[in-house]
Amino acid sequence: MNGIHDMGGTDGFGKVEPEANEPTFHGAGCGWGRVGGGQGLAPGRGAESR
Amino acid sequence: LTEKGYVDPAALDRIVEAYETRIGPHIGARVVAKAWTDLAFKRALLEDANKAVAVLGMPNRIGDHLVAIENTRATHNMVVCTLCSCYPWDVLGLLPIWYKSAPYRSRTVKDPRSVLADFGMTLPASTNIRVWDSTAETRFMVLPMRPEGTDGWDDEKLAALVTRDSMIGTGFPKRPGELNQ
Repeated sequence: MNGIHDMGGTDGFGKVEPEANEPTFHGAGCGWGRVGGGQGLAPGRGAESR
Repeated sequence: LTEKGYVDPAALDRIVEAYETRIGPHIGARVVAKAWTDLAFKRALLEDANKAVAVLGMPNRIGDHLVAIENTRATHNMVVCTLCSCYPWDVLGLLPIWYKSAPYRSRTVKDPRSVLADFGMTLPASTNIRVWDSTAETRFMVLPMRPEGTDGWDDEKLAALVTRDSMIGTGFPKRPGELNQ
């Protein structure tokens, strides 16, 4: 059952690491988080851009 | 993509700005607070979350089916997306990095109690944990239990207690004494 996408129940990935005070987008220095995040968000969200 | 004219950077900026400034877990917190104070709304929310949330004036942008699930002393609910990162964006905003991480996605369905321990959260052994695996079509938000000591509080004050993680099932709402933390 182990597969690259279907991760449910797969062993060996370790602990979850919650992040205190996480930023809205990571990569503040070069802005990759905003750019990549924006492109990922874009499909179906035209209403936000109007 | 910009050079080929597929993407308008100004439009992307406005989408990003919306998620930085307007769309976030404060929306879900309003929904939870109303469900805590208005029994008819709570029933409507648990029956058809899309419809109930729309009544509060919150649009469904993605067109997905939103399901609200209620925590009780007997059952605690947790939300995951084992396949990728499906998440109720309209009510919770941008998702945390850990939600799409391999450890969270892999272990939540197999050993949820140990995942909650990673968040510093312990539930009584008598509380069942139910895990909800999201898809692109169906997304879940948890309706956490109302904290004790909040009798008579209005929606706005209650909403300040509702954390993002409490609506994913990886945290509790704040207690009244934690309000300014």
